[in-house]
Amino acid sequence: MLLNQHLIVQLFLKPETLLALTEPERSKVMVVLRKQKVLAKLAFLIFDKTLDKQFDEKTLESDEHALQAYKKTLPSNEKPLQLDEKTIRHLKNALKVAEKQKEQVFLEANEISHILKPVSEFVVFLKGAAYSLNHSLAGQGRIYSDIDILVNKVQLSDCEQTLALHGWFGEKISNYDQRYYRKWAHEIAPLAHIQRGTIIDVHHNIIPIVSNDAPSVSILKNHIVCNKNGIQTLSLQAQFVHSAVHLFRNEEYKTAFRDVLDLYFMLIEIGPNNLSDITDVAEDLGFKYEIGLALRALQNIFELSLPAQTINLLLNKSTLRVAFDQFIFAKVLLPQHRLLDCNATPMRYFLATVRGHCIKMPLHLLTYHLLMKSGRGIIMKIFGAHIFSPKDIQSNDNLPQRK
Amino acid sequence: MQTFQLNLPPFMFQVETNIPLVARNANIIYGDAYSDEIDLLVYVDYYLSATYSGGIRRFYKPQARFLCDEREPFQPLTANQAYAMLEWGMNWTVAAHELQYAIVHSAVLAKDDKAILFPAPPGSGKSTLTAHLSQNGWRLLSDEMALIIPGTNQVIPFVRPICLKNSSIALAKHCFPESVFSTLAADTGKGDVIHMAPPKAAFEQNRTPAAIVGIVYPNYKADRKLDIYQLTMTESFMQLVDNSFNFTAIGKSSFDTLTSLIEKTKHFEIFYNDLNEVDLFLTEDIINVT
Repeated sequence: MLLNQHLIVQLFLKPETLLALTEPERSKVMVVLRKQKVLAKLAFLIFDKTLDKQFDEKTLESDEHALQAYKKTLPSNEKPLQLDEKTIRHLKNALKVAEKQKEQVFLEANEISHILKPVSEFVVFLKGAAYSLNHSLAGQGRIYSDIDILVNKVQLSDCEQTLALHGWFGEKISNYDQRYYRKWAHEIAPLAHIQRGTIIDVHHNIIPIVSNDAPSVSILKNHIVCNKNGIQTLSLQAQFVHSAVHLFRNEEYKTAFRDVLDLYFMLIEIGPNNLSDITDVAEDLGFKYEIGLALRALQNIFELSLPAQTINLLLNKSTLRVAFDQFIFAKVLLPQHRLLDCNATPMRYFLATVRGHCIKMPLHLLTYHLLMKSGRGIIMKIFGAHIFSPKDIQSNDNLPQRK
Repeated sequence: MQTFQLNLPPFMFQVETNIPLVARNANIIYGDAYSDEIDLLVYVDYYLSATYSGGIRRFYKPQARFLCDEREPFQPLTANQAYAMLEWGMNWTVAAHELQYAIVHSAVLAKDDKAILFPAPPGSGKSTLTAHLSQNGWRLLSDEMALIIPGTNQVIPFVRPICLKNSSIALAKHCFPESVFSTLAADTGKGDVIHMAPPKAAFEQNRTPAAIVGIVYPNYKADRKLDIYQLTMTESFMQLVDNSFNFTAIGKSSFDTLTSLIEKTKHFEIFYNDLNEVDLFLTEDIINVT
């Protein structure tokens, strides 16, 4: 079978497609999905929960005979069983990481919520953490590198101080970057927990203030919900809008496919027949256009039948702008990897990056920002990406520094 | 760009490199497990690369970077360290992904399929001891990581070269003139480093697990005759956890595995300056009595 982007998308619609591949093809699929951070997602779709338990017990014996016997004892229509042992192993391991993160995020969320509630009017969990905390479809097998929270801007410095008292500190960054975060961005520099190493991104809005499109806090507040554990998130519809805004106002599209899958699973959970729930929220927050792009992209990628008229109404910019955006996003949202058989589209990536920057800030600020940033960039281009790096660092974030 | 495959049960790696010393060293160290004829029908677990970093840096103190499936887990090293970097990168790859094993940072050697773990921090003389035992009747399962099947005392071989540092390099070359050594990676974070090829016999039995019967924490001390201390279970457990790569990642199953291992094996901390005495002690007091 041709290993291309279409096949990767198909895997998430019909996970059993994996069975039709040869073992070397599956090995490449594992690698591609791992890089896109969606391997655990596929693993979740393939192993349903009850099978999961039985399987764990069997594979711990980890010998081929046990596995063979296991294959025989289960009915032939159970899907994971016709997979080879190596593929099963890679999928299960990816799922273990996701499950571990999920376990961790509940602990962290409880603590963060608990310590910030006295100082901030709201403590809202965003993106990946929110999907997990609400047990959303998008959260199944989702992995993430940090926990995003939204607090009230007027109480931002109180929040920072409280977090510091509980062991959350920011890394040292340059004065320019510090000012960038404070003045223009919608978040402060990431904070890491001094013992656990968990990272949180504290936001005071959902998009950069400097873009002039950031919704006011009073409007945002209307879309906050509280789950039965006392954890606050945005409503599912507002989460969809936030994810779409994030995706279509980004400058970096290397792992955009994970976000596309998030949107797809949120849409499934909301129900494609309830689009008006999403468009109402989008209208309220002022992001109709991004929702138009998101729905159009989901329709094309996953071959959904969504009402064309609704989408056309949402895409309320000039024909040229719409055509330009759709030209870019026809490609850059799909998974990229050199093991995949697909046409290179570096130009569209470049355009996507430029587009992301232009949307983010007014042109005079953008020019200044890029000028400041590019001094170092130019030197790195000439001398190699690692000119600034220390001579001998072999340590890794996840592992103790020893060999 | 050169591409080769390393068939190192239980894993298969495919490596891409444009640094000649990487392929050359891999070829001499891994022997038959190395193949530059790419088998397209084989299941590759990880696609790795060790390449020069870009820019004109290539011509001035060139650097080498390691990638695992297009992800870069650590900072580049100087190009002369590229082969050591690949070895460490492979260790990282396994430790970070292979959660079906409880993985302990440890040398593993066996006699009669009874294995002893040697968990130890760098500088303890672990690798020199490993080199000595592997050339004197012991079967090398690993110099760096013990892959333990959860819920059992079974350790899976992952046969890889022995990583020798600083003064042990000259010693090993002197004691084992027949062995194959990689080129020197000078001035790394751990000092000068060289990799010594495992004995052929280790490769031949690289699919045969062994049962862990002892855990020994080695400490080489130039001025000390063999001193043996029996450790309490708690002491041994804490040291083992400290040397575990994925204890927190796999949680309960790792905890259960390590505790049951502690309960069923003998554990000692040893101080020594004579490798033959250590060999005798291990054989008579651990292997022969279990």
